[in-house]
Amino acid sequence: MKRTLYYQIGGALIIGIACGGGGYALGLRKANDNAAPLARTDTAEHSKASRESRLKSFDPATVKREIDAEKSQLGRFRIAQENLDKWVAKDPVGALNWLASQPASYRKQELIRLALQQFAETDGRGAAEWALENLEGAELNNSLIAIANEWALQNGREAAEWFLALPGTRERDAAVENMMFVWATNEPKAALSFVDGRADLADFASTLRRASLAGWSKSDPEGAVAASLDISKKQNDPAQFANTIANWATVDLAKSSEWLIRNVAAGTARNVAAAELGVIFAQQSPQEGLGFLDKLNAGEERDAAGNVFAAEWSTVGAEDAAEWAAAQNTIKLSDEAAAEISMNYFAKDPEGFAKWKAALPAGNLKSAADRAGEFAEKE
Amino acid sequence: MMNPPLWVTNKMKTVKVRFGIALMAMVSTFASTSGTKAADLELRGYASVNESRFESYSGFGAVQNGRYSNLGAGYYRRTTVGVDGIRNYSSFNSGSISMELWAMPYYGATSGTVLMTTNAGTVFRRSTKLNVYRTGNKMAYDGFAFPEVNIWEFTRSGWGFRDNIAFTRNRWM
Repeated sequence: MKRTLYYQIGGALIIGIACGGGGYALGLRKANDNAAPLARTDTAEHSKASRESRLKSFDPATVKREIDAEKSQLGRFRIAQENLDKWVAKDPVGALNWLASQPASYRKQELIRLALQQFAETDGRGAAEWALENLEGAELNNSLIAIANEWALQNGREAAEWFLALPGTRERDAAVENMMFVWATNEPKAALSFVDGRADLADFASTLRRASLAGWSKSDPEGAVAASLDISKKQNDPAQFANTIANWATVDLAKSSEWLIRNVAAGTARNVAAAELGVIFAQQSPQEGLGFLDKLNAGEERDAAGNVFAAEWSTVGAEDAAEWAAAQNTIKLSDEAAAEISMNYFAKDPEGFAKWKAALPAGNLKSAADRAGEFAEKE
Repeated sequence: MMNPPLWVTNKMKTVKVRFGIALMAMVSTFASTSGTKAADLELRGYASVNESRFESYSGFGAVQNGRYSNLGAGYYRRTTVGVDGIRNYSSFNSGSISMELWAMPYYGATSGTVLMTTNAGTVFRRSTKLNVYRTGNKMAYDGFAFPEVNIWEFTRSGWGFRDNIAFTRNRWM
């Protein structure tokens, strides 16, 4: 009898664990799964005509009455969720205000997020106004970026003008920078012309130009870097050109570096861009980076790129970078690069670092290695 | 150095780490400021981001231990962000540091979507805090973006940006 009872308890436990585990697994979502979390829009299943007809017959006041009559909070949200798509389509501000007025609950914030997303698809200005009045901090920052990006796909100029008319805040600037990138991916010349036409932007214009050129480089990299080179000369902003070609390099390091070597004359713009590509080579492919350095003009150009390359390389391959720095004689190692290489090697492998340091000849690398440990915190 | 995801290799340890960070956040957010001056802070070395493969939904927004306590409802993944070191060049201790993960639209962008904020404690004057890795809840961005790890310091003037490390490859975030 006792043994049977143990079997029954054991069986029940196994079933319980299996069901619980299964439920837990269902509750988790695999990465990259884009399934909408709670509600789905129904545009895929219905024609525009039938949607409009259903919208015509939809009355937000009726839904509100139905919700008011429901006593359970869960039930109220269920009704709101079932009608959210149509409610937001017909009266977005009313739907969002009703959701915002509800007590804090598991469903509330998610429904607000979905409603705001849908609102932004049809009325960026209304969605942004609602977000500015009702959200703050990171939620405001993230929502404004999402709204501005959506609006930029529909009408970049209108979105940019509206956002720039707002008082300058960190959140506003983030929304504008992000939307300029999106706008310029589709209409690069219009976006850049807009920035040039706004004398009131002051220093912010430089950020927006970079964003626009980065967007352009996504759709037409060669066109973007050629335009960026011209603009950077006019604006005396070589870092802007370096950033544009760096964005191309993030997707095609070989072509972008070849383009730089073939098309840009020796000078500041080429030096700054070569240094920027040096960082990307160091992170993505140090051995190819060494080949890239060999193709650069000896002297200031190769030194500028070689120093940042070696410093950055030491963050991902401290020993290799340190050995290269100690052995190479093609660039003049700067004190800053020597310090970076030494400190990074010291932090990664103190024993290997000590052996390496002992074998160094006198020079700035040896001096930097002697000072590498002084900032280390004793924890 | 790529740390293995803590939640896979050692769940008990992860729980301890979480409690430890939560306690630090309660203490340091309110007590530890360096005064009105901003410390000269620098992120050093290699930055990494390790995400759990799975997401879980949080209706109230998963707890954040850094500059923001909540990023809103959505799907979240347990994620570890870290850097080889945070260096303080100043002659005074830093205020509380929020180490954050952002999704940037392009390489070199100055602003983006905040996905996670964690508490990285403080850094003593003229020293480097080594191997600063923090595990927290990262909001799912559901798109490609350039990750960026950045730090913010809390002083009597509020939170101020100090340094960032930008990743040169975009990825699904």
